[in-house]
Amino acid sequence: MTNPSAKPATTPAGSVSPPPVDTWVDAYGDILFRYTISRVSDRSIAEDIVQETFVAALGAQAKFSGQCAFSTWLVGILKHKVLDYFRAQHRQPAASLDDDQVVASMFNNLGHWRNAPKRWHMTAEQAAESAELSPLIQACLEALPPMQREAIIMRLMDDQAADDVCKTLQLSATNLYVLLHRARLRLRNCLEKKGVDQLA
Amino acid sequence: MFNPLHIFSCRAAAEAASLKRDAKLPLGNRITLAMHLAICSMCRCMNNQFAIIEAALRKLSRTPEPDNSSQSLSAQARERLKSRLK
Repeated sequence: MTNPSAKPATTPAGSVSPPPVDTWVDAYGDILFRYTISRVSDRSIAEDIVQETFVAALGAQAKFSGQCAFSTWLVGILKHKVLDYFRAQHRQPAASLDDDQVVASMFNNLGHWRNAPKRWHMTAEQAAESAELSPLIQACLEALPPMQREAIIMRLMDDQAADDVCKTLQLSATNLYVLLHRARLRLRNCLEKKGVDQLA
Repeated sequence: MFNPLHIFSCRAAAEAASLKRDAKLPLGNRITLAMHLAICSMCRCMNNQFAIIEAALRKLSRTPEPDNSSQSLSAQARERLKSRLK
């Protein structure tokens, strides 16, 4: 096992066996947990979702074909478990959304900004590489109301089309756009309060 | 002089600028938004911020925070998982 390019054991059928079950938690637990905690933010819920993923993987390991890395296969199962969790949170489809007072208070009666947005001294390209921005946006993401958080995670972190997000969250397109809009305004407000305009 | 600020508030511009990132804006709204952004530096800042936020969220999804205690499984959770998989 010293050769890093060594292929996993191949079965006669030509498929690849997954690694031994007793190595899974140490080898992949943190990868799965980090993916989950960045989306659900509650440790105990995240741990439960990771557990469900391992249990599902245990039952389905015969289906692992070795076409992708085992960690990628596990994350594929995990993604479904996270979406199941989001879906379960939205059993009652929202016919109409309540007003978001935080967002409403960002504008005056004439629709002008109460606090003018500041110039952030970075481009989107720089933001895509910024190590300082990640913890700030993670904290702001966690502070969003749950529906806004789930909508923005699915739309922008998982890069899903709006149609697909609507189906998963059982929302009309209009309501999804409202949630995404509110989430963006809350995120920009939160980041500015955290001094993002001071970052180079 | 025609001033789009009068027909398109910053609140409406914010809605349109967000919607433009999720769906195809009708031509009229696209033009009004572009005119608003051309004369309103505050909304131009906001629009750039939206792009920065998207880039930062993508980075977050690609590379979660490096190892630290809050981003890894607790020892208890690890043991629980191991016993569950036995």
